[in-house]
Formats: sequence, C-alpha cells, structure tokens
Amino acid sequence: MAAAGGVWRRIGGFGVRPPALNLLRYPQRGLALPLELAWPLLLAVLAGLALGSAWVAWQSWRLDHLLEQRGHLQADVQALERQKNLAAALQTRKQWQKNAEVRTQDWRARRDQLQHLQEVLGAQASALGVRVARWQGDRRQLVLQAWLPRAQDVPLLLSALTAAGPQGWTLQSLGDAAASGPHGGVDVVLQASWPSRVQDRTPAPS
Amino acid sequence: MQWFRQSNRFLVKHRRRTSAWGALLDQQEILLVALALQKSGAVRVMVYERQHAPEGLVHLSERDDWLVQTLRGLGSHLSAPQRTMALALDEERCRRGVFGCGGATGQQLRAEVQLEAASAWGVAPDEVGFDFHVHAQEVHWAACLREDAQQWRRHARSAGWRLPMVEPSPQAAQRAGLHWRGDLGRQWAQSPQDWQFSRNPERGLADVDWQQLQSGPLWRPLVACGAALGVLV
Repeated sequence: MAAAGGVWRRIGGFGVRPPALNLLRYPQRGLALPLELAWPLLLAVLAGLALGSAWVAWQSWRLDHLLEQRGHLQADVQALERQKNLAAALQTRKQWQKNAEVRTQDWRARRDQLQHLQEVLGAQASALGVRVARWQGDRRQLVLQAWLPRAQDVPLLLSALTAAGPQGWTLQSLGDAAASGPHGGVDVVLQASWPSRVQDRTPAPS
Repeated sequence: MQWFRQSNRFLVKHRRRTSAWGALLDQQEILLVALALQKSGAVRVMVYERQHAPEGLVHLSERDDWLVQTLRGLGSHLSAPQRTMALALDEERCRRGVFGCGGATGQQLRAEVQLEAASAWGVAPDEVGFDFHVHAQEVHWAACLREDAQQWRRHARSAGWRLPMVEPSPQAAQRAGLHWRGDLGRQWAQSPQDWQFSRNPERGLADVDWQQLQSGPLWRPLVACGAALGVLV
C-alpha cells in the first residue's frame, strides 16, 4: 500500500509517520504462517517439487520407452503382414501357373486329337468318298456335318472316327442328299463329346 | 519471453499511480474525490462530487444497488488501473481505541486487538475487520464490521473498481491536513476543487488544531481527499 509508515522530512526536521491503518488488513485470508515454519515449509515444498519433477521425468522416460517399444512392435506386425501377403500372392501365382500348365496340356491333347481326326477324315475321304461340309467344335463337343455317297458307309465312318479318338461319335441326323443336289448320297450330322477334361480351377482368395 | 511479460506486468503493477479516488461513505450520500499527480509534483483535485441517494430508497439492497450504479457510472470512462478507490469511514462505521501493549508481539498482539475490537462492537471476534500499529508502547487500533467491509468490496468489484483500502476518517483527514499545500487555516477560503496537496507532509500533527478542523464544514471533503491521498502518495 502506498500509505505505509516511514520517516519523512519536513521544515524544521524529520518526523515519523505511523503506518496507515487499513481495515481490510485483518483478519488475513487463509492461514497466517508463523515465521519459524516458513523455512521448513519452503524446504518441504522444494522437496515436493523435486520429487514431483523426478516422478514426472521418470514417467516421461517410461512413456517414451513404451512408445518406442510400441513402434518396434508395430513395425514387426507390419513386416509379418507383408510376409503373409507375399506368401499368399506366391501361392496364388503357383496355382495359376499350375492351372495354366494343365490347360496347356489339355489344349495340346485336343489339338493332337483333332489333328488325328483330320487324318482319319482324310483317309475316310479317300476310302468312302466322305466330303466334309461343316466341321465345328467348341469346349464341349465336336459336330461334323458331312456328305457320303452311300448310306451304308455311315457305320464305317462312325467306327473309324470313334476308333481314332477317345470320344465316342454318335449319329445325330441322316438325310437324303438327292433332294438337295444332283449327286445323291446322304447328309449326316455326327456328334462327339470331348472326354472328361481338366476342369478350370480358380484359386481360393487368400 | 514469458519472464519478460511477467516482469513487465510486475513493473506496470508497481508503477507509481498518477491518479486515485477517495470516498467518504455516509448513510444517504457518498462524497467522491479524484486526485491527480501533476508533473510539478503537486496533487490537485480533479473531481469533487457529492452523490445523494434518491429519497425513495428504503431497503439496504436498494441503496446498495444505487451505490453500485453510481460507482459504475463514475468509472465508465476510466481505464481499469484508474478505477482504484480508497474508502474512509465515519465514526458510526468505525471504532477506534488505544491500549498498552504490555510486551505482547506478533500473533498474540493481533489476537488481543481482535478481541478488543470485537468487544467494542459487541460482536464475535471473527466478525470484525481491523488493523493496528504500535506507537510508543501503545497499540492504536481501528475496526469495522467485517461484513460491511466485505460488502463494500463486493460492491466496488461488481462496479469495476478496486478497493484496496478502508480506513478511519480521522486518519484520512490527518493525511490530507499534513499534505495540505498552503495555509491550512485559510482552508475555508478555497473551494475543494481548488485544493492542492504535496506528496510529502508539509507540517506535523501538532501543528494543526484538529478539533477545530473537524468541527468545520470542510472536514468531510478533507477526509475524502485524504483517502485518495492514501492511495496516491
């Protein structure tokens, strides 16, 4: 407060000014601390601060350590996940390669069979006079539309074709070719199913 | 830069004031004075106002509201540091006394003063606000009701003012009389708006006829000025 007591100089000498009374001064708020307790309390507060600071520092160090450990563990988990994904990708790739090999072998076998059928048809063309009108195949079956000069040669053609390959040929239709052309003979439609082939196998998703 | 802000705040807080307000509170009116410190070192009266409570206010709460509104209106154009006021109490609101200290010091002396003040007021010891000083083996004390002091402080705070000091009116008047610049005997010749004070006392206590001064009409303005001086010097 500005109006505190003190020594002041005036004309003729010095005077003593008593401290001003302030009715807000007492009773003081809170606990009035005796002077003899001030130092121990201060030391206790300082010790408490030191202990608190040490505890906070230790907690901070421990937290940093745990965070570092968590980082390492997260990196390990990520590496394991990468390895797992890589293994799954490799497995998928192997499966696809295996499927591709099986498919290649299958198509090679079909090609060989078709080539053999072609040779057989060529031989039957010379022997029986077979003329191939339409030769169609898909993944399931083979269809042969041909003309023969004599109807009684149809069983010979069927047996020759059946003997040439693993699939059995059946007669689908037999028609008189005299109505459609001047040479006579018969129009036949033969059909054969491919033998059981390798089924496409798609790998299970990993 | 935190330390710089704190030190700057500390310096601003402890910068010497150049203006202060003093008030003498009565039942129906409040006498307000604002003093300003001039560059020449003189202290001049800048504001001198006597605010009367309206006639219709009967209840204490109404007078409290009026007081808060009055203070709020007075401080509306002032900055926060300028809204600082000291309050002087008349004899009805403040009891004083003197007793021999008998070698007691510190907390014991404080307790004795508190008991003496409570006895003078006829209330419990924790219901008085008091202060004292020891002079020539005598304890001079003054006390008011603590509830009143807290109430004035609350009013001042709610109106935006700081109330750092509440003192007995004779103490404020003595301060004003000692710092009065000029011939105190010719005080009546000037209106309070023209009064001037110095920062240091101009005379001693024995140089003034306090009883004559107290019985005169200018005692109350002198008390208000002294209260403001208590904050300023």
